[in-house]
Amino acid sequence: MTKKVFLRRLQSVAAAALAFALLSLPGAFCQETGESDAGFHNRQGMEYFKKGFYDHAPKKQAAEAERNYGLAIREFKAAISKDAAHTEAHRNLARVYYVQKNFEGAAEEYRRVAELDPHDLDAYVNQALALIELKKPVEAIRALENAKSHTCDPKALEALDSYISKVHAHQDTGVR
Amino acid sequence: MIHRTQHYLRNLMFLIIVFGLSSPLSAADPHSAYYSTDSDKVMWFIHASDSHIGASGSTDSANLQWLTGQARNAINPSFIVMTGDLTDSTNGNIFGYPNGPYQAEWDQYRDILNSNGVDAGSYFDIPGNHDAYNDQYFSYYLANSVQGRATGRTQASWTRTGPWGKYHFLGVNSAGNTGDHFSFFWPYGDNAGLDSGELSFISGEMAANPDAELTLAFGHHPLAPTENETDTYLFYGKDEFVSLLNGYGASLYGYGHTHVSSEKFFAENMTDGVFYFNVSSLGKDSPNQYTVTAIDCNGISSVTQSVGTWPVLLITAPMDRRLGGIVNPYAYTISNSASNPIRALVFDPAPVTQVQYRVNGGSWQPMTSVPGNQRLWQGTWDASALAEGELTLDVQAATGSGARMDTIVTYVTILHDGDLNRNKVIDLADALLDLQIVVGLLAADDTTSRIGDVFPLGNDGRPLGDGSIDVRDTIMILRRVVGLTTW
Repeated sequence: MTKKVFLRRLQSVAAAALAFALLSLPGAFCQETGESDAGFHNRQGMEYFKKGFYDHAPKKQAAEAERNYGLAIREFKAAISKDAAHTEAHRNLARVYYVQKNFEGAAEEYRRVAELDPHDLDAYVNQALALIELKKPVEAIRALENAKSHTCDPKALEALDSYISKVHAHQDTGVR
Repeated sequence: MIHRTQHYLRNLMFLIIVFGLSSPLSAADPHSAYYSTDSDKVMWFIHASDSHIGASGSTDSANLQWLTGQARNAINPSFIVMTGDLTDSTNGNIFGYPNGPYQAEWDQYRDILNSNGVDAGSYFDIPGNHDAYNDQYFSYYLANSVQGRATGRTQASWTRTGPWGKYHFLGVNSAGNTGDHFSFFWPYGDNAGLDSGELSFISGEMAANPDAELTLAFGHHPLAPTENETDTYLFYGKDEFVSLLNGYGASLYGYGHTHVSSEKFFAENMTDGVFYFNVSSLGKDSPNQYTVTAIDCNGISSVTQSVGTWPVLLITAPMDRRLGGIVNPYAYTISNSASNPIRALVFDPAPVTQVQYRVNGGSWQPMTSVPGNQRLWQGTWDASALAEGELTLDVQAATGSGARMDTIVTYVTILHDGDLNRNKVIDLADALLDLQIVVGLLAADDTTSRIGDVFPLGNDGRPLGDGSIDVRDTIMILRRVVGLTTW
């Protein structure tokens, strides 16, 4: 093998390694290379959310937790901007909003999850819970009725009926 | 051929090492309970579960406040073990739908315990499924629970040493390790079980306490399916855990989760089995209960009671032959002695005015408080005139709060002691009676026949009997009378 050939091969290997490294790097690199996708941003968002929710919040580091929630929201929104039908990103965004007590945002994102995955009963229930926090019991009942129309599981129907009854009782008494 | 032999030998050696290591060199012994007049070998603790702090419409906070406050002061337990679902993970949402964890619930949990001066030396809280939803690594439990903060672990191991020797206690983390969210569908996001790391901790702690007289384990979930098909249970690690309980001679597995109380016995794939006690939820769903478990001379007793009710009463000796709903394999039999001890614990913030017992529904006899242990009461009962078999013992306590009765079943065995006229002295009169039975001058009922059947003596020098009365029994009694033998 001549020195020239050897150097060319070395260059090829170096180029491949660089390309691999760029593809593996998170954040801007991925976006710029066009390799980034909604899945990547969703994963990034989850990393931020986990940091805030599991590392900081239980230790009462509220500011740090909030900072990470903000970063998580940015990533989930980026994921949704790449793929508006990315169910996981909507679900995760809804979760961060709920944790932040942004019930308006949470209700809307859970509604979107239910729209994308009509059999996800938990999405309807979480939407209903957010609506109750917003003092919108009628809409909450509507979300639960909507859930009922997407299942024929008797236990799930029983649970949903009991939730609807609870919303009615809650309306009657006004007690939380 | 030599090669093959060596191969077999190697395999055999491997098996010996593996099985040898997996079998405990020494272990606790649930059969070690004994009936004694010793009143200094009694300890007790509280088992509660499912405090569900944060549950909507429940008395969760008030009940935990009561248990760790007034109840702890009145009962003075060696410790409290709280088997999971410490928080509800709902933050009071009206559906009771666990979508947490919520730091606010944990703050409330901590505040209650702090206000009552609870510490890690006497309060052992382990996680349940409600503490595990959406939290794969138990971050909230580890940052907020008493044991999580103290040890950085999700499982606990502790001992209590006293005049009784040493008892070993284990709190295992049966909650799932997936961090799944609650779900509408079975198993509701509750992937309960014990993984290899958790089992390794349990095994290590059992091996580290070979000198324990008894081992008692606690977890959140039942080991196996219950009568309620919606109850989750150990989906993985159960066989290994049961094998450890069996191998190390555990006496009891206490759990919560189901929100009902029961005293059963679990013996599946075990030599004898373990007491299998389920306590209902302290904070959510009625009845809100807790259990006081006592160990008296290695004998276990237990009472489950509703929050806020007094007095609490528990017979600790003799052992309840029917504890666990079967003929308890760990209960001892009682001789037909004229002076058998009876002990009971009475707890009440109000003064105790009277404690008394009765045998087989007979007349009430007084009990007295044990000096130096005001919560323990004792008496002596006469079994000398009783036929062999089961009998009931009732203890009744009257206090400033009211009255309560506890009942147990025990079993009296007739002693082969040669005291045929039951005058508490073995003398010539007994030898003469024995001889009259031998020659047919006197008819003996079953009890008398057993008392007079003293031949042969056992290795411990006490009469064993051989099932009949003959001249050898008369000679043995005579030898006892003249001091050639003793028992």
